[in-house]
Amino acid sequence: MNGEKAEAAEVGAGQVEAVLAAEWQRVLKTTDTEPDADFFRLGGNSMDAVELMTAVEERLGITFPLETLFMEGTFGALVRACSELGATA
Amino acid sequence: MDDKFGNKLANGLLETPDFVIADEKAFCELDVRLGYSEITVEDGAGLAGKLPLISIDDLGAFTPAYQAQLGVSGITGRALLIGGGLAQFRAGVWTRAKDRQGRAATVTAMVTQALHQARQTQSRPLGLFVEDEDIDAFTAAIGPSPAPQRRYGWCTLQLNGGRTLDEFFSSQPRKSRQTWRRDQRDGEQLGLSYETVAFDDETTRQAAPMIAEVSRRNGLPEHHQLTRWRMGAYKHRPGQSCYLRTSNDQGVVAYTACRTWGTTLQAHTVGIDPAVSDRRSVYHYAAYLAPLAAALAQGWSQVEYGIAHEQPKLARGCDAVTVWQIDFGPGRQEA
Repeated sequence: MNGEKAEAAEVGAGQVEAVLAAEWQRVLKTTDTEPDADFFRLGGNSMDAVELMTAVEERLGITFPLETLFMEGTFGALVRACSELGATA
Repeated sequence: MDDKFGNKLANGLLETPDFVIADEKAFCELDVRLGYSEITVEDGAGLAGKLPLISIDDLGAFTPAYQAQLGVSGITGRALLIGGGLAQFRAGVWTRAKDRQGRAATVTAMVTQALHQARQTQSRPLGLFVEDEDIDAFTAAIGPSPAPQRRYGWCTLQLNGGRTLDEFFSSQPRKSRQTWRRDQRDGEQLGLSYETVAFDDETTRQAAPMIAEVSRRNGLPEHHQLTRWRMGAYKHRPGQSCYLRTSNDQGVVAYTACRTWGTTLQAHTVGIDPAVSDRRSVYHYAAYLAPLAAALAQGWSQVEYGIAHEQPKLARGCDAVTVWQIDFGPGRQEA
């Protein structure tokens, strides 16, 4: 039972990262999804942030953590925050 | 009482420059694009001056509308904002010297250091919202330079000890008294009233679309989710934030985001229901009259109405301090 739950959580986290990576690459027109890849250093601005937020919310059904994007800005931080939100959705 | 940044907030213990500087620091901590630091100078008596600096890797990371609001349209790349100015659209400059000459000497010394730092980091030095009393000291730090540009008047209303609207109106010159009474009369005819409500997430969710709509009308289009984030960040800045919620007999028609510190109430942002009738009167009520009434009821000494819509604020008796922009230009040398 515990194993099944762990497996489900793992798949969920993987899906979150895959969706984030796809939308990050599309919005920023980059292939850089290293954990320390920085949204703003890669050319993103606040309107790009809204585009990313809208797409991720539609695909994952979570409230996108916009504050994480503005306060930390990295792909890794976004994956972590979205995964936590996805786990409690 | 201290806030989470360790600032003295009650009983007027925090002077305006201290608050502006603390606010600038908090503002930058909430946005990864902004790097905050300070220039300080000391003399034999201790700390003599403090000047915030904001470093930005690329001004192009801001939307065109925000760049225009800041007066940096067309400028890209690394920048150093001398005096800051992003939090409140006024630079924070603190000096121990209160006399004009002593303050100017300290400010010039700090700006000179800042220009040196800008050159070392290959950043474009800009002073975005330098208050009138300091602009000469800023320009004295460099050689021949483009003339500073007037940006806004920062508007503040002194309350002169009145505790009710009638007491306050009576203390005003005739023209501003008439303007205020018209606001009051229009509000009464529309059945408007306000209440102070908590600055919580649910209220911000309701207020954000109205605030975004007003921003759009003012030439600053902003997605309501960005507005929601911006207002959420405002809650985490120094001071005690609240909303003034304006209603008529149909329901809520406006929100005014406010903050108090010391004996000051700052009216920060207004949101109006785009479907409301007589929008102009509702705006005057929510933007001007409700903050005034709230401040009088609490016994505050002044209301800061800030930048934009300067003429209507002057018509209501505000004092305006001019804020200037100075673009030191790429590669400019300090004097």
